[in-house]
Amino acid sequence: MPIAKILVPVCGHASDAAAIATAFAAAKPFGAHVALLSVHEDPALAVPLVGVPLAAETIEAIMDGQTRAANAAADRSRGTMIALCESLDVANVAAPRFGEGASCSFVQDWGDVAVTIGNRAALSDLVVLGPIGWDNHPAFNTAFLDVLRDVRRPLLVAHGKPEGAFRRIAIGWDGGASAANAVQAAMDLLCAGERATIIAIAPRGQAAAPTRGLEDYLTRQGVAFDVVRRDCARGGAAEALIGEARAQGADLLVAGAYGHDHLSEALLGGATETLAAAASMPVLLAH
Amino acid sequence: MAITHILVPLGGETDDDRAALRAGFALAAPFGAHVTALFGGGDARAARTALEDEAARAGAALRDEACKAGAPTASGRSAEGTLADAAEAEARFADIVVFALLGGDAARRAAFIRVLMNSARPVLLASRGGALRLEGRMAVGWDGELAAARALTAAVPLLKRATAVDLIGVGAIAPGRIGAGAAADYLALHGVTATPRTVAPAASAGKTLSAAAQADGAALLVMGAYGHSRLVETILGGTTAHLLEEAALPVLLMH
Repeated sequence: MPIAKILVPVCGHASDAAAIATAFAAAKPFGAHVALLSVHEDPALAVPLVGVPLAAETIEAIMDGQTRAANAAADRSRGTMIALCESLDVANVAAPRFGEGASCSFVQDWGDVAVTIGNRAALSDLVVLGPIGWDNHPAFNTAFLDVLRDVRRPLLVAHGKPEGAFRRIAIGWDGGASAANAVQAAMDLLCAGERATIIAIAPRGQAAAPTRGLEDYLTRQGVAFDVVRRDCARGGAAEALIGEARAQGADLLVAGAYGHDHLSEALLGGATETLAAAASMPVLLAH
Repeated sequence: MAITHILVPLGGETDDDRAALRAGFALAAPFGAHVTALFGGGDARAARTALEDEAARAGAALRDEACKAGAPTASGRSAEGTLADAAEAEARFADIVVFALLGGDAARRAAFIRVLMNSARPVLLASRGGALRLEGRMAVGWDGELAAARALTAAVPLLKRATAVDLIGVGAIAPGRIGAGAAADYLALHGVTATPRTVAPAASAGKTLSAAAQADGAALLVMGAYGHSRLVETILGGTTAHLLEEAALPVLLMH
């Protein structure tokens, strides 16, 4: 099942460009469609409930302001998309068609931001977001969690504009189910890449997770790979993984998200958030 | 993503084991995939004989060492610990897991539930006898819920082999859920033409759905599986419960 549909929620901020360019890089090997989604709170929800009746003109002014701000953000995102379509040679189409090469389209929608993203993510092969907690729409942080933990779709977190296709792909491996799910989610990209590196990571003093099952899986898929082992300080798995992926010259890092429950993740230092926010390359996450 | 590895956990009940293996090899054939049989409980020697027979019937070579998918191959091994533990661990490196219809065997039932609930892999429930053809019409149960969307996205490699796909809704889709049109649009991007339609609810949703798919002559039914608690086996109540023991056609489930 090659990747056919990639969802990119956009918000009109500077982070849009990184997310769109990263989605194009992921779409190109498969001729996939990149669907941009600019979603905004219903303007009626912006009217405050103050306990006294507001003048109709006041309500109208508030709603108008919200609508104008939303449309301006959508226009900025659309402009960013059109510029990238030209520089990266991706067709901007009204209605995507199967088998006609990489394309993109733009949709503006109104409603609860995270819920709307979640519903559209459910019928996408991949979701791409800009770097978390940097410049994104605040609701994207909720969407980040929803997509990974509830909708359970793979999430590609952008980091700058990628230079080209994902050729060297690093796999963060701790033996857990989340990491295995991330590998499965990344399989099309792994097959389209040149070489994968399994980075088997374990806290100092602990044995690294076995890699045999993963190696067999990659072999069956025809993915060329090598294996490196790396130990890390307690709570330092994400930093160690990012460091090793950079040393390997990886242009994409694949890792499990929230392998531990949310509480222990918080106690261990939020490995997933660290990965999403601090990596110096795009990171593909799955739960 | 290509299907390259199919896991078939066996409970040691000969007829059921053969049905599951038959479906597993039918699935492996078009993809040149590897079938791993996992023996747990019952008579492991009989299960191995069943594997050897069904592999020979399917023209799959027995081979322990992994190789790039191309021609179907097979291997078998005994589960370490319980069948449920071993199946959950092995499912991490499988693209799809195949079970025979659930019967009295507790170990296989436990393994089925564990894989379905925990592994994030699609589970194919073979029909009695294990006949499976990946061609002709296929049906997808569509209620707009996340489980249905997960089942649909996971089923794409199989749906691509259909000549026609029906997106069947039982009654109306609840407000705020994902419309059948969006599901058809998603499949169209994968080169799959799907037609939404609605059937009136009668008996349980699961029975209505499987009856509609069967009446269409569907080769496969794809649907989301629901559960409200991970703690007890009665979780698979409602829509899916009766299908697990008596489905008349192969069903691809995803939780």
